[in-house]
Amino acid sequence: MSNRGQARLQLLKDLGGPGIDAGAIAEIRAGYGNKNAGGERRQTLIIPTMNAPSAPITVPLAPGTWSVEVELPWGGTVTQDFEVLENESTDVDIESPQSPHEELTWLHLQGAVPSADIEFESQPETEREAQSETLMHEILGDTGLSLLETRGLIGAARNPRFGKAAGAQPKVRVSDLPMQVIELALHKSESAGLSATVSVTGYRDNAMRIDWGTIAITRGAISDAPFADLETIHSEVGPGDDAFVTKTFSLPAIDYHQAPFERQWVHVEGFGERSLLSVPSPWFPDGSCGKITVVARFVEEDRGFAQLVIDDPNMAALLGYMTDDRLHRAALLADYAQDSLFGKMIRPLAACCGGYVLVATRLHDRKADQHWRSWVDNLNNWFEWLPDGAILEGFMRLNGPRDIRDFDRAAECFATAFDRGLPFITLGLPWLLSGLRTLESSHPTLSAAIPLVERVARLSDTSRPFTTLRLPTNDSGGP
Amino acid sequence: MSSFIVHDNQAAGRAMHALVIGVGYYPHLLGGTGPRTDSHDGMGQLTSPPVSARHVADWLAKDFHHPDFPRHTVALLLSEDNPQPYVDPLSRSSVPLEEATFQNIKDAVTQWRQSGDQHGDDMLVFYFCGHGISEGHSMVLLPSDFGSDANAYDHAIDFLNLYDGMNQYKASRQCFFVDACRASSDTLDNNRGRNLLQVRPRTEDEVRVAPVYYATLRGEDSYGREERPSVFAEALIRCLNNYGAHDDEGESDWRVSNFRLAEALDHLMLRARKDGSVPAQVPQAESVRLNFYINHLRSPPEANIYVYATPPQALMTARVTCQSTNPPTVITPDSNLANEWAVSVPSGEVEIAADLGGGTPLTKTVEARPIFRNVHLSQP
Repeated sequence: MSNRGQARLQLLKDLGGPGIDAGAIAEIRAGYGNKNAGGERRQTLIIPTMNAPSAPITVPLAPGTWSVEVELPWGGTVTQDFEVLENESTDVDIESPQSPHEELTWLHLQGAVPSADIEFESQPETEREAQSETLMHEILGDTGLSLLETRGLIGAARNPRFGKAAGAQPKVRVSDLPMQVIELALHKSESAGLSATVSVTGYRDNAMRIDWGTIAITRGAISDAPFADLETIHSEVGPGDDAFVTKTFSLPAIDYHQAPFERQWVHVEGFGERSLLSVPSPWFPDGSCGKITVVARFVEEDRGFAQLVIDDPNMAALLGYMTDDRLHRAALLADYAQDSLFGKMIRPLAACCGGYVLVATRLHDRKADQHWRSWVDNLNNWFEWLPDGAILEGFMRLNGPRDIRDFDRAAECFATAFDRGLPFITLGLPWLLSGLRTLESSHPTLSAAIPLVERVARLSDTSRPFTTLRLPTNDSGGP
Repeated sequence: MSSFIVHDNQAAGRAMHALVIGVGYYPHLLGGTGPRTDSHDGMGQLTSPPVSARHVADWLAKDFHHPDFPRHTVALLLSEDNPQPYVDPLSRSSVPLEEATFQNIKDAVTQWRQSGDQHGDDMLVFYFCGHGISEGHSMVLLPSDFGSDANAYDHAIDFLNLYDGMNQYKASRQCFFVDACRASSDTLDNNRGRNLLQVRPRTEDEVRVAPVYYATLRGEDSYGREERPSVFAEALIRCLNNYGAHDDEGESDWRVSNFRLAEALDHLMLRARKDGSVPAQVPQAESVRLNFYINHLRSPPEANIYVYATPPQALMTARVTCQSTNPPTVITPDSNLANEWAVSVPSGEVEIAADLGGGTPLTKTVEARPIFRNVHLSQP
């Protein structure tokens, strides 16, 4: 029997600083000619993502040829072959598509901006449009790499009802407590082709009401008080680039043990679209949400979308996988991070993300230790402001019942979720709707909620991890 | 109630029951022969869906292979301009078809899910090709008699009701393929489509695993080719037959998993777009959360090899060959896309040999396995 060697694996990505231990999901397979591998022909691992060969993961392997396939959090897959020698360590630095701009690398990791097109040249408009629709194919040098094209993010086709944004000058509005609304607008520069700048204007006394029946925004007087940390990362792009704008800000901390408190939303307007993005706050144990970045991207003159990204390295990859409903990949990261997500329940929203992933992918395994079910119960019972906690418990009891009373309890949970308001996490909407519709016949009191939830679900941009609604351009309210 | 079964291999044991629907003829939409509905939303007649549905039905009848599901039944409903019977690819028997109206589809769904309840753990496959409308989390599929009533949506199918409703039945492995546009429409603001099923909680022991494979993204169109299978249908069959397979369960044990199927569909539809034959269309898979095997291959699959060179123009005058070691055969590239040579080779170790004009031939050995591998050559 040959002596084993080692492979030291990491996914190369310039993060502008320290990497992430739980960076991506990789599968290692023995090569066809590798007879030494025996029964250990395949493994699934969590590998780190970093920009320097500092702390890759070390895996003992039988000597011979191997390949590693990494499904990237930001979309697509890369594959690389490598050779393991007896008693030796082989460095496997897996190249991957990089962010189009260095300062956007964290957004890129979470799937909020597409990868750089490293062979981009000035192209005819139709080709540029095709490129900007994220079906990009990269050649990654002489490494035998294979790349399944990055799905990236497609700007959803515009509903004809929404039409173009009213008025020639989109406005940006900022409000302060209690109505937490931050607004970004995109201005088109005619002279430079597809380019954008962003302007920020503060307004006081904004009134905003968002519930199942009404989404209404009214504006008051201009405020002089700037919002905290309104930092612009990337506000101007030139012709030929994939056009997008980002804005970063932070919000005051919330004491999430003192419910109720006002939900926080971002309103993005421009280029024929209006989006309402739920801010996942409070996110960190101190009740803050850290740095929030809103990415507004447009692919045509009147077609674009917005996404909100939270600056949390430990959750970046998991949120990236959630962006494209690749929950089977996110589940491995949720397993890995169980203690930090659910320990002491000091991060309820992050715990909800983990909860959605585990409930979606682990309910079937009845023989396994499903200790995480108690965490889901706690999310619902401990945080009265959290619709997602109630949705999670309802879905878990409905689809993984342990006794017949679970269906009654699920109905209670879905009713509670509705009362608590719109979910923070996108998955909450279809799960709530499915739960209401499934239990409607046995629990008729749920019926009244269904039309309202359906209407909001129709507005939902389903490809974002945090609830994102696409609104009509009139401000008169109503989904 | 009519029988919609066009194929039944009558084998004993657990079964795969498929319901395949292709709607191309819409009498109440643009170009139809009936009274036009006001809710047509610009939709008209289609030629691809009946062809696509036959293509899928043929594969299910002839090529589907799964040791856990020795029995296969295929139910087929079509609506086409010139109705033709279905010819079973194995028996060559000719079977008349029912039209894909709302009621017929509802009846066919009833038979289909009743079939799935017989053995307790069968696999169910659903394929629909025709007009579809979606907005956010809502989606409706349009049978042929859409628009026949004053309320057009009295003959429209709420797909999410169908999906949620199937959760209560015994079959724990269900695959849904929706080969339809998902363009959004105002009309869904006040219409939902009708329910085919009453939704109830699942009381079976096994949790249902039910991925949905959409032909396109939400809000986007999907594309067919006139009188030919749709882009998605063609890609789907190629993936089920070949490119969606892996041998993770054991060497030479090639199986198509629902995870891999999603990736393979992504890739093949990108290739179709890259060669300029179709507009942009990106498939989308949802609820792909637990792995199961949809098909087992009877023979090893092929893999795509894409060869690139630096500088790119070196390929134009190059001589490139692929030598597969299993079996040992010289294979020449069968297509040439600008700066790329593409070839499909049997899985295994493949040696690429190229003379880029620098005098010294280059060789590279790569592991060819689905879905594809890139090989990059540099001119000396």
